[in-house]
Amino acid sequence: MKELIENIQTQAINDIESSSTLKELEIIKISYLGKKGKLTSILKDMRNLTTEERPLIGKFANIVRDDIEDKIKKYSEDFSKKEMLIKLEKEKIDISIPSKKQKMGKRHPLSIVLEEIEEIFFGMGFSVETGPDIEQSYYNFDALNIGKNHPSRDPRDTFYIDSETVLRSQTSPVQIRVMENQSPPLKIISPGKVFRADSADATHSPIFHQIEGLVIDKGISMADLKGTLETFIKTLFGEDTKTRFRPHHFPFTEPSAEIDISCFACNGSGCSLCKNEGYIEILGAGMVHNKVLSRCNINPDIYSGFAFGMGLERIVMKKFKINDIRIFFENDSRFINNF
Amino acid sequence: MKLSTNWLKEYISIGCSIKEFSDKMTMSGSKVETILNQSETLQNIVVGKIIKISKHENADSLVVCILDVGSSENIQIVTGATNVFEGALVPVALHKSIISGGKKIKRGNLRGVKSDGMLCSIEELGCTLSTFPSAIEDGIFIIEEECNIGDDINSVIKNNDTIIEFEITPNRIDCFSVIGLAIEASATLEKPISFPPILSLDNYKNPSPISVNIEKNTPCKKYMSIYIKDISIKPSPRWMMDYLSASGISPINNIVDITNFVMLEYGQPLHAFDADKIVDNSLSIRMAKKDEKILALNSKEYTLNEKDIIISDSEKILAIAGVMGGISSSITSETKNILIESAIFDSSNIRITSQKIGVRTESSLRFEKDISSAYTKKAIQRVCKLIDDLKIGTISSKLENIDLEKKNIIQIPLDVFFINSFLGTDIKKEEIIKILENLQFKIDENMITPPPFRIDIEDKFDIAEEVARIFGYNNIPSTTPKTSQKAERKPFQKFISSIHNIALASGCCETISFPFIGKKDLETTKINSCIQDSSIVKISNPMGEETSMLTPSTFIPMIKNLALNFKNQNKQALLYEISKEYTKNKEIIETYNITIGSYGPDKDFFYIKGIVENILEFCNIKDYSLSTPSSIETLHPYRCCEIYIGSDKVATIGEISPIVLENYNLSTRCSIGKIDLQVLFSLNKQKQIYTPISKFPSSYRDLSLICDSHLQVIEIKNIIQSSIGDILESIELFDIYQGDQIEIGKKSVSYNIQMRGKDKTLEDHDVDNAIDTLLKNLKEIDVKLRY
Repeated sequence: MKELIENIQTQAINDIESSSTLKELEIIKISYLGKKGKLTSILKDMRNLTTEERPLIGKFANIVRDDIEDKIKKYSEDFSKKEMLIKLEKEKIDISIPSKKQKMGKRHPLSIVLEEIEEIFFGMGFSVETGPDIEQSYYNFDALNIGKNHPSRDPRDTFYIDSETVLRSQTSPVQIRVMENQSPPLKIISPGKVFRADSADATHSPIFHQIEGLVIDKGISMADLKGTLETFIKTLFGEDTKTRFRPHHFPFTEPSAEIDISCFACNGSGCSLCKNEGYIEILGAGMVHNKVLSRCNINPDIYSGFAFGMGLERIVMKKFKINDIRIFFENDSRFINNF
Repeated sequence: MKLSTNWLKEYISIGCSIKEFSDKMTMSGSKVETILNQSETLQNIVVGKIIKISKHENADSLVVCILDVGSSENIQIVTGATNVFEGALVPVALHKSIISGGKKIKRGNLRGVKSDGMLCSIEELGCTLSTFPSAIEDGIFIIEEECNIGDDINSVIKNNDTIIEFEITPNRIDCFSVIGLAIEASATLEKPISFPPILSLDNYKNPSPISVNIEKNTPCKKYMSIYIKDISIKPSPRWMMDYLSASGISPINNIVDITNFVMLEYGQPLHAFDADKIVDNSLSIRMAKKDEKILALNSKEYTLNEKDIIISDSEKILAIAGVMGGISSSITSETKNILIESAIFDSSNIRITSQKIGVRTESSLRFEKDISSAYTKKAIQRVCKLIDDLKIGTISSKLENIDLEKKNIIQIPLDVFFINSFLGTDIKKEEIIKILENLQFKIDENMITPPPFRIDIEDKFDIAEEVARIFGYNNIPSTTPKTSQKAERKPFQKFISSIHNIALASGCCETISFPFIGKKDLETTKINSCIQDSSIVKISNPMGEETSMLTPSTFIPMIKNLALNFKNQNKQALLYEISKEYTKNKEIIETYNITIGSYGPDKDFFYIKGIVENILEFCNIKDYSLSTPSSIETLHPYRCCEIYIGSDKVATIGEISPIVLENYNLSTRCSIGKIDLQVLFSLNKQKQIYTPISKFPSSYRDLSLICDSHLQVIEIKNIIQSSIGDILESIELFDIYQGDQIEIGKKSVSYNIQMRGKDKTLEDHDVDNAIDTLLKNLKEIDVKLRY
């Protein structure tokens, strides 16, 4: 009897080992372990055994049964893995086919850099103030200590709506409005569009963007102006950027300065970008003129402050090596998608 | 301002290289624009001696010269000039040389004969006959100057000046002069200055034969004159011509040159009249009469009016004051006696006159900037000194002076503490005093008196500026303001940032457009159909008609942007811009909009509607209504809508009308939409609290409905919302069908309606009841179940 079982075991193992599909394994399982299977049938003859033999054979038969089941299980796991792989292989895709990405929009390069500049000033405690594009000439000129005969008032330079109303030629009127409506300490920047009657060419545009800043408090000094702008410049253009403060003249600041930075294309050695000067003029600044403070009812003997302004297009052109200002306002989506 | 450094060196020794000098001047406030080294304009040109002249074998009009140019071998040059002779010294442009105008000269071959360079005329050396009277116009310059063979021509013709061009800021018109810049140089370099010699006029007592009168209310606050007789008109000395040429002024004759020379030196414009041409010996400074005419020195006739200051005799205008003299009294070779004028005219009058007649002269440039009267007298004294030194005339009257100027002497206390706290510096009092004294300020008992030519100095802030710039801005320390402020974007700014992000996430590219438009744009975009002309903001001095207004609708620039992208063959465009519209009622109003424009596959009306809905959803606005705009011809009349929140219109969306498309050569469907961001911001209900989400399973029903084909599906949606009530989770319209299967004039619309209980699992009968109510309500607007 034991021999018979052993034979069945050998036969079954052989069958399993020579099988190649899950289906074959299933048939093998039924033919040995099913209700009418070979092992099941042989066990039916157990009743012919002696009471001594019966438990021994029974135990042996169970071991054989477990062995066969284990073997089938192991093989069926292997087979299903293989069959799954075969099935998946048929689903192979060409991963180089273009993606189904949702095309993202792009910010205009002027906005990208403006936002970067705003973030730098937020970090230094400046808030952002805005004002109207169409401005009273008082705010655009008089309040800024720009004399009645100053050339910037000339209709060949500034756009007028009527004798008292202009398209602002700078964003400084925002500073006046803030000084009138808020009391010091003040720390603001004012970005926005400005308008000047310049014919458009590669470096001029009748409309461009300025970012101006203002700090007013007790004890603000020219050294504070230098420190603030140096920090800003190093953050925007890199830690290695050198700055140069040059005396200049603006009606609304005194002392006034123009600020040059070392050329970021040649690092100061001279190239076509900086016209061999090694420096690029980037900002105008100065201590707020005492007459401007007085007009806004801020006592210049108690408070002092500084102001600065820069042209956004100029910075963006230098930063991205754009050589014609007009391209900013053409709005060809290929240009905007560049950034 | 072009400054001859040779001239400058007459008054101050700079003691450093020109480059170093320029850098220092720039850093103390006199910005150097360009540096021109004269000798660089003529390179490799030397003095040569003609040894032999022989005929050219192939050309009768040419000769071959053998020259000694100081090198080991003689050279040979072919020339067509006829004034050359053996033994003559001539300027020789050698192989690889540069002559005036930047022209390069190389060895060559002239009709078969080798030529090692070129012989130069005076013009080819950048000079004129007036500076070299010995030269001839058509011919080689025969050198008569002291020189040796092989000398660099620059040293021979004294072409060795360096000219620095300064940018002079409008507050520093005193620096529009050699003396002004010399004073700046003196303070910058800490070097002493010596002023030019002048003639004391104290001993001249005779009254001038020419009487001068300033008519009442004429804006001339000072008029000095002196009479000089027995003038001998001739060319100026060479040094004076060189200085004038270097400064950009052509020499004319000694008297005119002296007035120009002294003007450049002191910044005080001067004028010389031929005294014998002054009728009745009387000068009047007055305003011109209407349509009064003058034939000016440039041979052009100008018609003047009551706003122009003029100098006249009893018959006619002799000069347009401060701008240009007239021909009738000009200095000619016959002039015998002259009157020199040194005056101060009102800056705004001079500017207006100069602009009106379109004449800007060295004189008007200075008067326009409001010069001081500090040098009015010194300039005449300097002219007299030069005339005296050159022995070209006899001073024969006292200095006549009409002075109507109000004297205003400014004194400012020296406040060292203020200066240092304002600048953030620690500069010693002695150093401050030294800086100011070098700038010619007087300091006495802690009181500062600015020099008379510094009319820009008014108060302690001006003093601080003077100290700062000479001390050096770059020597001021860098500190951080102690002011500490909390800074973040304001609510509206945050809102705008979010709107940008939604547009970007929808795939839109940001544009930045000019808000300028013209009348034609209003017509071609048909924006004139919905905006009255009176509400458009117009520029009174536009650069052109096409940029004469500020756009009343952001649709206009957006349509132009779409047109440009289409013209440039971009297959699709999806653009947005956050910008302003400008309109005027009683006041001018600027409103912020987001404008979206598109063309290309799928980028249709509904794509833009989707972006608008996303923005409304971001603002948590659910209750809005759609309506058809009544009068905007810009849009397709059957493919456009307006979105209202209550009674506020927040958005307009539509396909662009085919007529407008055609006007812009857009042969593709385009869609456009805009939202008024200020209105939207005011209605913005962004969620602050969260609504709990239900834990219970959902149920759904699909319904196919039949309705009139003109029915707007929003009506069905509204009924679904009101009928299903608060168990409604979502409605999806998944099919609209019109065709064979459906009765004509009807359409089939299919919805998936999802429902979920907030606090319980919905039973079948809950759902059925809700759907029954819905169907009953739909029947009232003639919408029936299809199956």
